[in-house]
Amino acid sequence: MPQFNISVFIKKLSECLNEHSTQSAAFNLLFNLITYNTDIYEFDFPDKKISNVMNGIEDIPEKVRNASNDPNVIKAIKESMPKVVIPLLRKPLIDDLMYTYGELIQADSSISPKTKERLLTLINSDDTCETLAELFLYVLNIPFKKHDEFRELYYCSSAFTHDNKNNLLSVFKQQYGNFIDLDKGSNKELEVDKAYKITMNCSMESVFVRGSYMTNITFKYYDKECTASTSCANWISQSELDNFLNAGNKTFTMVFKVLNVCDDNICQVHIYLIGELYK
Amino acid sequence: MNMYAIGEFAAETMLNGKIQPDFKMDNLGINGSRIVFVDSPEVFSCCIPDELDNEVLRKITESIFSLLRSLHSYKDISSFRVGFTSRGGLLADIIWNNLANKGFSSLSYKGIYNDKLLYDTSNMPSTITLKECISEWKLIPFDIINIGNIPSLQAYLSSKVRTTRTQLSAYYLDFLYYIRSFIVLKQHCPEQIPILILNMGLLSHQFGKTYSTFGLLSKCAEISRPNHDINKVCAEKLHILKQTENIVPKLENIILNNIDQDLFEYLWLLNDLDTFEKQLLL
Repeated sequence: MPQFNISVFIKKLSECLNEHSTQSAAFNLLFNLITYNTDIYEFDFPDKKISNVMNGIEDIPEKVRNASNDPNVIKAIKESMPKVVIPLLRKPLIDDLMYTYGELIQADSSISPKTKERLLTLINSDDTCETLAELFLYVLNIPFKKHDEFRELYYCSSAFTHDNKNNLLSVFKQQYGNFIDLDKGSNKELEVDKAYKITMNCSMESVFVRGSYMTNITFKYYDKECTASTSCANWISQSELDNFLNAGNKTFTMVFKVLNVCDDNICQVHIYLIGELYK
Repeated sequence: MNMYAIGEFAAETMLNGKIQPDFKMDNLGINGSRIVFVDSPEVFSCCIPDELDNEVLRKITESIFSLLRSLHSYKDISSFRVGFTSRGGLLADIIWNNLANKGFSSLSYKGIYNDKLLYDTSNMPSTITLKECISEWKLIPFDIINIGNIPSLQAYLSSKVRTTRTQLSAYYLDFLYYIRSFIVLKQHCPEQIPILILNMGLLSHQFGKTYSTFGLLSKCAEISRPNHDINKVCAEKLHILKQTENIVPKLENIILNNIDQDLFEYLWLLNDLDTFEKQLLL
């Protein structure tokens, strides 16, 4: 289950809005509440930024988070919620929306029992305005949990372009489409040209191929022996690479594409990213 | 830093059981006149030869490979190799040849032969011969093996440090003496180089290294003055060698095409031709 955060909150809310039902419009509607009747703060969210926040690639700016703790802002949100948001809600869907929020909160292990109890009590009350305002204030305050993101990136293929090392799995999805998460499923088959993510113990060996220093990565997935060749130059730290090579094997999380599967169950793959995920 | 000296340093640390996974130029420094690791928290220690096994052999090979990645020329790698193999003896020879299993050889580096060469080390680490040879090698007082302490080949060959060695250790020790002599003579007495190379060729012949023998004798003939005694001896030895040994034209051509190389570069090539002759001819 995903983290109950600003992105999830807005997505679920937008599904119940008469107008402003696009995620971007719902985002603007809610963030305008922060500056409702106050001129203390001024925020400008370009479409790209909104898209990144909604896709979990970027967190909301710290200054917005700080503003949400200002008593004037809290007051503005609570005052404007019944006037701005509630009239736009499709009434028959309100209970379902609250139910969905409740399920998400229940399933989010990062929320403390005490906070869970407080939020669920609100959800079970009949005060939709207060509940939405409190939930909005809550999600404004929690940073994106870096779930399924690289805590440490060790290798990045030159085929993969990125501006920084944040949210690489999401950036990968944007560039190459979704991958199949083998850590979460039980696919036994690997199909050519499909992208996968896996966490696996890998054997490593340095080799010299046609004038280039490479590191070969081998791992076993069910009956398949997967091999990939990575350029040493694309490993982010040469010292770390040396230490991994000395150890000879290490558990990595990798995103790879299958290049071919031979009859003898040898599978050649192209690795885009190698690292360790946040736990 | 002098790549030959780094090669000797790598061999010495290896024989002392110190394996640096992150072995690269940036991690080397000078303390007085000695090369040292400046960043060594990850150095792995083991007892050589007692704990030598396939895994230790793999770790040493990876360590050497990590240094090679930080070198950028054939000349530097060749100089490192000569320092490493001459000071490291049989174990260094095995480690260097094991690099071929990773695709690294003079032939692949120069693009002469790109297919992978195989060097079988599967049973080597546990052989008594290897362990005894390493133990014996480690006892040699290496500091005295140089032309300053032992100024003539005659004196060296009859020295106690040489005569008390087994045949295998003596071969590697002779090689070390020749190489160290070469470094000094090249600077101070270059006219002695041909006879030194002739002796290296004869040493190779004793150990059945046909292509090294052929290459070194050919080089000696090439650099010695025509009609000089050494030139005549070389020509005669080459003539006999070609009559008694099967020198394949394909490999002979590789040697002759590279005869102008610096000696250290040339030695790497000759070693690979001898070591992988059969695979090269497949």
